[in-house]
Amino acid sequence: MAEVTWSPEGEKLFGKLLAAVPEAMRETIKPKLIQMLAQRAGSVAIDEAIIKTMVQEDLPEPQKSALMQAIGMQAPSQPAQEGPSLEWTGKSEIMFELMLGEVPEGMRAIFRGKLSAVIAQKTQSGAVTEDHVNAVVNEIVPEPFKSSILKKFKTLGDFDPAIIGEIVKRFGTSRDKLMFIMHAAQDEIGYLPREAMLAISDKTGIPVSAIYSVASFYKAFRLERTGAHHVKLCCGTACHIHDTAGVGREIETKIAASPGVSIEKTLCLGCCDCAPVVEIDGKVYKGAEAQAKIESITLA
Amino acid sequence: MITCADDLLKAKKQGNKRLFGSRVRVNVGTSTCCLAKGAELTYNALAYGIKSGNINAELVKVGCNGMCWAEPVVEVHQPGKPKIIYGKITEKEVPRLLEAIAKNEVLADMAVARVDSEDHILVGSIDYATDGASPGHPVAKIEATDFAKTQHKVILRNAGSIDPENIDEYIARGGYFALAKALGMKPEKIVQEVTESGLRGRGGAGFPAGVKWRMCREAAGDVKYLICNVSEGEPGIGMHRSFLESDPHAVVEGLIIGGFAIGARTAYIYVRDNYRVALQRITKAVSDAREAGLLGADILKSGFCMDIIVKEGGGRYVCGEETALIACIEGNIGEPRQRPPFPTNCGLFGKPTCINNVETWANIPVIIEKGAAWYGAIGSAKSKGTKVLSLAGNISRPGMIEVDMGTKISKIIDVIGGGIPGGKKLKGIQPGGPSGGVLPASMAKLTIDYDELAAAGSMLGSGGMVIMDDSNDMVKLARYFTDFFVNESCGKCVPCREGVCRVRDMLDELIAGRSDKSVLKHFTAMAAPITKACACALGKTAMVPVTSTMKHFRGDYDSYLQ
Repeated sequence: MAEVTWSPEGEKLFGKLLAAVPEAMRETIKPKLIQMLAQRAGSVAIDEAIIKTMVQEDLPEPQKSALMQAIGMQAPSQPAQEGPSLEWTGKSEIMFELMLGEVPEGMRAIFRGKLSAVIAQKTQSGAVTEDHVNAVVNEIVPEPFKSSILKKFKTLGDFDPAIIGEIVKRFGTSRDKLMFIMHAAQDEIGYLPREAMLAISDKTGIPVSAIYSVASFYKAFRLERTGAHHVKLCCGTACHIHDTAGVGREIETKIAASPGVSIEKTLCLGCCDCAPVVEIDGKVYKGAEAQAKIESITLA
Repeated sequence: MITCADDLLKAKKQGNKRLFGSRVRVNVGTSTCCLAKGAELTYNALAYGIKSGNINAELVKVGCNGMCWAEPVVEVHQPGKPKIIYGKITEKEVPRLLEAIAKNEVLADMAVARVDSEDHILVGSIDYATDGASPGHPVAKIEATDFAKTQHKVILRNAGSIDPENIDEYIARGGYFALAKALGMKPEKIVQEVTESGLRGRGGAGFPAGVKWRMCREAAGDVKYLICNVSEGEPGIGMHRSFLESDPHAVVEGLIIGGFAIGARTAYIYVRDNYRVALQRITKAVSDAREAGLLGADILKSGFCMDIIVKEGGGRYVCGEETALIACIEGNIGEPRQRPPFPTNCGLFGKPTCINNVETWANIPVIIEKGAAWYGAIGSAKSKGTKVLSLAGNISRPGMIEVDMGTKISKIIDVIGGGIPGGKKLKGIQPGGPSGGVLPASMAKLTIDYDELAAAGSMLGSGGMVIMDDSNDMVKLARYFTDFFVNESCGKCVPCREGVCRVRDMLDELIAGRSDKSVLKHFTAMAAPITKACACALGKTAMVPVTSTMKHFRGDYDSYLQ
């Protein structure tokens, strides 16, 4: 590393600059920045002016705008403004949001504009596809973000986010429609993945925190994917009274040992006359039938 | 489109043609309770058999007729002959039944009862055996069976007899005529009629429905809402689901009349998310009513406009509490709030809102059609009308029943329910959900009456009656209920969130045999703040299962003490 000397203000400002760099990259970036500063400074101590010039003239976009803003400089021409309006298809929008999620919050607005511009260039005013976003990540995003983002893309879930748009269009965006939208989305996807909640928030303008609080309060919403078979065990009074043989517990243990089958304890299913009952894949079964059905799905 | 009384009559004719066609009508009960016992297999086997055997029969999916103990239930009506109710018709029995149908015979060994004629409260006598009486018929008359003889079908008048997804069949049995009548009355008069009938809210507390209506009607503001509560979160209750699956139009009609009387143009029907079939049927009923012009603009040319929105709930017990339910419809988490202000003044979206449960709404068409005096003559001195109960637990004939208010609990257990099976003895009765606690066998002499049960330290609740035999351990039962309250607490009030949790831990210690006599004092000490300091009824009654079992079944507790 080049030998450098700092003026007190310069050292302070450099600290501020580094703080704006995402933590995971800080160690890699630091020597590079120092080297660039050393080149500009020569034998003089590095002061505020040198740092500012370096940021403005040596750094590439979009890091330049972001860091300029972070150290309190006037960012260059129309920096954080809305990017070009894009037409998203498939999962592209959610992938884009995921990518932005990796950017520190303070810099996100600038990155959004810049990256949108890059994508617009790629699509040449056509619709954005998942491939476009993938290409951007592969081409411009540095490690370790690249791997982390690509990994997230893989776990994105297999639902088509366009359905959220359709559902929201069907119900409207007012707050009292939120649960209708969430029910419909869950019916469609099978559960409510994080991305679906983000998409609902995005389309309705309802804060994602509010959506999560509703999703986690009501037992009707599942935040995790259910197994290939989903079993609801009725915990009603009549079922409790009739289950003297411990059938419920037996079912629980059996399912715990079989991957691909999920279980949920539920409020009274309202079939109290035929207790104990279980609901398997949306159908209610009782007694021997229930046990036979459980047997068949846990063996598979 | 139904725009006038003549259209209603036309629809009635249409419905009667379906109900009493020239072909054999075969009703298969397909409520969730029936489906759990394989009714779908029975239906499919019947459908296949009728088609392949070229049998001249009309197969219809109906709701639950209340005979849950005999399910899958199939009703067969040969034109002119008595209607025969068959029980336990599993897939295996279908070929025999089809053979009997084809030969115009009765399968006596599978039959539960026969219906010669039915005394329908709205349309009067409905005759099935129009070919004349059949002396020496091998099947007993329904009126003579223990299960039916003490019942009084007012709310359940159509359950199990009509296709719940067909509006004409509902109209054929007097449906929507009350609406036509109501729209010709002054709204004020309707409220008065409901008040005079003595109808009390069927949700649990028994608040007079007419008083609530008046409060909401007289509240300031142009925009008002109605809500039909089908949250039914208490364990051991299934009749609201069954009812909605069997006769959904009765609720729709009740809500429209209520809307006209109170001045509300939007009603919500809040249905628990677990009730898939009920949701589907009520949604269909609402859209059918809308299509027929009975909902929407200018209903029956009265100038009155109204619409109904079916709202799928989120599966929390607390949402049965009215302010929590409102929060849920508004799209928030279902936390109750302090009252006052009461929803009748400041409810849904801050507007005056009238919330009643499904059974209360279903009573309205009957009251309008038959009048307050007729209705007021049914029941006991201060509890009018009938009560729908779901009978479950250790009982020979579990099911959905309807009795006059004032009926003795022992009569329900011994006559309608057929007593306790397996030679066991009655130990406890839960008259209305966990909030009503458990009563000892000696209190079976009490009647189904709001005030009588309240005086005994219990409550009628919404009518989930669970019978317990002497093999039940009341401490474990109290632990089960307490666990239920722990899981269902919304977490807003500390005594409910933390206190009930502690009580459960103490019960666990007790059951494990690690407690001495002092624990009973602790329970009592915990009960006071929990009962007083919680915002909603869920918290206030969370200790009832423990305190009531401690009071009535002290021996069970003593047996665990060190």
